[in-house]
Amino acid sequence: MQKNIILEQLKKELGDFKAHHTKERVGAVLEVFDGVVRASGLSDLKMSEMVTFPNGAVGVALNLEEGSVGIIVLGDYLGIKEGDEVKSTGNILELPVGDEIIGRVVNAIASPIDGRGTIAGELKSYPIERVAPGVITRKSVDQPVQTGIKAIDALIPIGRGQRELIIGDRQTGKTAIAVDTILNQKGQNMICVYVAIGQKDSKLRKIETRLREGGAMDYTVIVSAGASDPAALQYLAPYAGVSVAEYFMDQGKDVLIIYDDLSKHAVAYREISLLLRRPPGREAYPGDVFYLHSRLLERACRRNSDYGGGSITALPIIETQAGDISAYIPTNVISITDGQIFLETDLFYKGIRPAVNVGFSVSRVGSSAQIKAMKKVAGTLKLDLAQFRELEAFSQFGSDLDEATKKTLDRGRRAVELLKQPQYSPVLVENQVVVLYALTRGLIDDIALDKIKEFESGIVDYAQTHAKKFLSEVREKGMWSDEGEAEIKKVIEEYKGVFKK
Amino acid sequence: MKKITPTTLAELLFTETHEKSEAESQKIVKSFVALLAKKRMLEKGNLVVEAYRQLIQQEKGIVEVTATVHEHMSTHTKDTVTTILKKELHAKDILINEKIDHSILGGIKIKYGDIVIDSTLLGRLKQMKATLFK
Repeated sequence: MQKNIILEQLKKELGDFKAHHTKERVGAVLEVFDGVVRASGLSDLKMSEMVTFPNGAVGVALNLEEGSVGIIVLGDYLGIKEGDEVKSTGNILELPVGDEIIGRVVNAIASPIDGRGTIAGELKSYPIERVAPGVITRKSVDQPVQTGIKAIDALIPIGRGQRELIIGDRQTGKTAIAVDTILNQKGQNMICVYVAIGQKDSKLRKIETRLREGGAMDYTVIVSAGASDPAALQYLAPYAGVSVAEYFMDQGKDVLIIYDDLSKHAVAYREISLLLRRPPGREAYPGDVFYLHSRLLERACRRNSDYGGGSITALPIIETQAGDISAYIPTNVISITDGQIFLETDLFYKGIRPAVNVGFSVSRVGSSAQIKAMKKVAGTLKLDLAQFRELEAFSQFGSDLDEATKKTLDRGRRAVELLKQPQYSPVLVENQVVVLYALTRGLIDDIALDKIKEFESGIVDYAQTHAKKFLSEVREKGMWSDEGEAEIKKVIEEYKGVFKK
Repeated sequence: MKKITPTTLAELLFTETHEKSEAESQKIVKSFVALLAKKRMLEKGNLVVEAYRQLIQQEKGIVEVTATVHEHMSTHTKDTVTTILKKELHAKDILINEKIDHSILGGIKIKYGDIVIDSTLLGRLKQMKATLFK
C-alpha cells in the first residue's frame, strides 16, 4: 500500500518529465592549485564562460590558451582532482537578481549568506560583465545625493550618477562616511548596495547590525566576499554588486553603490593573475589593473529618460599607505572618478571628524549637485576655509593681528567646529542649511568657540518648532522665500537670546 | 616566441612527409628525430607520435570515438552507432574504442574530441533527480 502511495507521489512530482540524451563539451583537469584549475579540451569555450566541476563547484574561464584553459574556481577547489571532468555551461558569468534581494546579504554569485533562505520571487539573470552605457544614453548630473555629512554636502557635494572616491589611510573613517551616507538615504528614493571586498566578517556584521538598527536594510543589499573567501570571489564581488545595481537602474530607480574597498579588490586580482601566469607589471599588478577598475566604475552613470532613466552613484573606497596618494592604484582610481574625498590621519587625531581635508578634496560635479539653498549658504565656505588655513599657521607667531585677519581666523575656527560631526548621526539637508546660514551670515560670530556644538544642536531643535516655514521651503522647493528667510533670521536671534542666558 | 608543443612538431612532420614516397619519408623522419635530439625534446616523442596519428586520422576523415557501455555491444549495435555517427560527424569512417563500465547501468556514452553524448541510464536518472529536487 505504502509503495503505491509513494509511486503515485513520485509520478505527480515528475509531471511530464522526459529524459533525453545530452550533448556537452567536456574537458579534463590537468592541474589544480590555489583556486586555479588548468583543464584540457573545451576548445569552444568563450571568455568568462562558466564551467562546472563534478564536486558541484563552479568556475570561470579566464585564460584561453592553445590546448588548455585557465579557470578560477568560485568556491571550494579542494574537492577537485586531476582528471576530473569539466563541463561548460554555455553561459557567460551571470547572476540571478530579483526585487526580493533587498535587505539580504549575498555573496559574489548572489547566493544568500544571511541564513534567511533563498531569494524569493521572480529572478532575472543579469550578466556580471556588461558594457557601460554609451555617451548618448547619459544625462549630466544635477540631482544631489544627500550624505547627511555637513562637510561633504556643503563643500564636496555628490550628485546622482557621479563617482566620488573616498580615499585615506587606515582608520580614518572611510567606511564611516559610507555607512552614514546609506543611513541618510531613508526616504530619499534611493536603493543602496554595499559591496564588502576582503573585509573581516566581524566588521561586516557590525555594519549590517548598524544598518538594520537604522532601518536601512529596507532599501539596502549587501554583497560580500570576505577575507576568507577565495580571491576569485573577491575579484567578482564588485561586478556582482554593480549588476544588482543595474537591475534596479533598469527599473528607472536611483542606486547608490559603495565598494569597500577597491585596494583589496586589486590585490585579489593580482593574486589571480599571478596564479594564471600573467606577466606582472608595476608593483606586481597585472597590466590591465586600470581596466579592472575603469570598466567597473564606468557602469555608474545617470541615464536620460529616453533610455529608461535611473542612475547609479558609486562611492569607491581606496586605502592608502602613509598618505601616499601617488601610489599606483590610488592614482589609477583618482583619474577614473569624478572627484575624491580625502581623509587625513592628522586631522582625525586633532579631533576634526570627519577628517576631510577640504583643500585636497574635490567634486568635479560641484554645485550642480546642490539644492539652491545649500549653494547659497555654502558657496563661499570653501574659500573662507582656504583663507583660514593659510592664516592659521601665521597666527601662531604673533598676537598683534589686524581686525580683518582676526575676523577670518574666528570665522574659520567656527566653521571647522561646525563641520565636525559624530558618527551615525547624519544631518538632514534643511538642518544643515539652518546651521550654515547662521555661520556664513556671521550670526554666530559672537558665540564662544567651545559652545558652538551646543548651539548647533540647540538651534536645530529650536528651528523644528519655530521655523517650520523655512524648513519646509528648503526641504520641498530647495530654496527659501523672503518670508522664510525673515523667519529664520528671527528664530536664530531669538535662540541666541535664550542660549546666552 | 611561441612555445613548441608536441602538436606543432607533429604538424611539422605531417606537412613534410605529406605525399612523399616511402624512401623520402624515411630520410625526413631521421632528420626529424635528429631535430628533436638537438632541441632536447626526445622524451616528448610519444606525444608527438600520438598527435601525428590524430593528424593522419583527421586527414583520412576517420574519427576516433570512445563508447562506454554496460556490456559488450553486439555487431548490430556497433553498426547502428557507426552509421549514425558517420552522418552526424561527416566522417568517412568511425573507429570505436569500447569501454565497459557497469556504473552507467545501461545505454551508451559516446566521447569524441571534447564532446560527450550521454545517453546512459545513469544520466537520465540524474536528470530525474535534478527535476525532483528543484
